[in-house]
Amino acid sequence: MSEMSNLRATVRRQSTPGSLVLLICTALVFGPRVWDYIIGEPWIDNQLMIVENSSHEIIVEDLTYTKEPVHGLRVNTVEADDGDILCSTEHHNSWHGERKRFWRLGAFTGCAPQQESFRVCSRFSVSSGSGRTRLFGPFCSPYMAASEVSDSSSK
Amino acid sequence: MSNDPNMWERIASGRTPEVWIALVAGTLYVYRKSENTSKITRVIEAGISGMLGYSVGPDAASWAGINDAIAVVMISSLGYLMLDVLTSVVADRAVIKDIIVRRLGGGKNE
Repeated sequence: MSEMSNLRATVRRQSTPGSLVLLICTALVFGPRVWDYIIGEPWIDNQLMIVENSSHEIIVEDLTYTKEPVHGLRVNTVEADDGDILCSTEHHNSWHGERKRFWRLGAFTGCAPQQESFRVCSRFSVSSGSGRTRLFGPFCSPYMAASEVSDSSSK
Repeated sequence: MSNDPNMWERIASGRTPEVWIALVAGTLYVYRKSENTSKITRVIEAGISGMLGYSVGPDAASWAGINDAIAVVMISSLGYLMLDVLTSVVADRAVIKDIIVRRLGGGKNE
């Protein structure tokens, strides 16, 4: 019987304790997402951006993406640059496919526009058909610098 | 892209410092782990891993919902391992094909 000499040599070369530790770490890091993908568990991805519209209002650009219909609780927060949560709001909703929406800051987070630099974040608590609850996030926007905030509030 | 005078600057600024540090850690690991006696070959192996980490890391992080630096250090450390295994499978494809054919009850056409 022919020998798989190349494959054997590779397995021998890569079967070091370091490689095994890395493989285990990779399985732990990417495993849950891969498993969700294989068995079709619901998941949600979200991207947030703070932008200014033509009337100089601060608007939150909110892009959500799911493969399957997802239901759950969403918690939106406004965070200062030291990580303090300044205010938050929560609501139940359903998401499916790719949705891009624009929100006024007050409608998205329940906060008035901030005078200091801040970012907005979203956390999702999603239930699967089997009743298992999974948490996703925080998904955060980049910080809006204090100078940009004061510029937009003075206009 | 090749005519862009700021190409290297854009590549450097395209990733955060922590991602660059993760990338260096991953590539140094591959370089140290390689059993090749030739230093150039080891640098090439580490370079391939680093480039994989740079290009694929942020997308993998976004897909898995994890930090960019974690994804980059994983991919740059393991990227070369994956390529190494795939290359060996391709190199041994005739033997693997023989084994599969035999398992399915076929014979050699000799």
